[in-house]
Amino acid sequence: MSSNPYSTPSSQVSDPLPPGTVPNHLAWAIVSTVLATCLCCPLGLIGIVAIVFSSKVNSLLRIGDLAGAQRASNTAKTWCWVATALAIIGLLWTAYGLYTGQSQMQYQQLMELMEQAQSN
Amino acid sequence: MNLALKPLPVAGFAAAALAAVAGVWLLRHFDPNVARGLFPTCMFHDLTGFYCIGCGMTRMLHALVHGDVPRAFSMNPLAMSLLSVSPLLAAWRLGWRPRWLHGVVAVLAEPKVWLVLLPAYWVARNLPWFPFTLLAPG
Repeated sequence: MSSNPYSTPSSQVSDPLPPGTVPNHLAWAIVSTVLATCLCCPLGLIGIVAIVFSSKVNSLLRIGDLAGAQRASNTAKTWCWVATALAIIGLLWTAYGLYTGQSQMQYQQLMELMEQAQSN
Repeated sequence: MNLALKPLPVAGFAAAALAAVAGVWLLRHFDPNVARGLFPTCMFHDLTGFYCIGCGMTRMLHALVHGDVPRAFSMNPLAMSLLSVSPLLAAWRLGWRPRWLHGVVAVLAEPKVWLVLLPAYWVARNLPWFPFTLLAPG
């Protein structure tokens, strides 16, 4: 950050703000990244981008840039949704594979167990 | 503490509790250790042959609901460690903040820690030498 008085800063920079003033969605970012990678595909790794923006939220709060932190928070949230969507796609894909008989034996066993559970 | 009275957290908690009950039931009746079973395998491992950070998590939970903590730990040490501290973090969120927990939360709440820890763990579990092989599932 330059302290040139003639430059117009893109956003207000002031005293450090406490972490948590703006949500950084860190837990969501981590969980959705891992689930997307396991359930969907290596593309799930783009969830790392969400963690990078989570990190930006904290560093911007530390220099008191509330507007910048808010933007980083929104970007982190967007990438969290991307990773979450990939995880959901992966889950549906797996369910579809199960339905079309990739492991019909296990599926039948599941249905029988459910019937048993209902009749008990 | 008025957090618990809002409808959204209550619905979220109910959904999570329901998912947990369903998950435990499935894990009591099906074994993720068999090939081509009910549980999904890791797509990353299927496609690349390498372990990802989440590999072994289903087997970890399976071992856990069968009371085998050492085996659960060996399946995914990082996930098991995080699962162990998660009740403390939940308590922290609800307002229980003992002094000794401050340091732990400060480290876990720092995104940069994760940006180093996750890729490092990812690579380390795939290394074929002794201390690292402990991180791989099994």
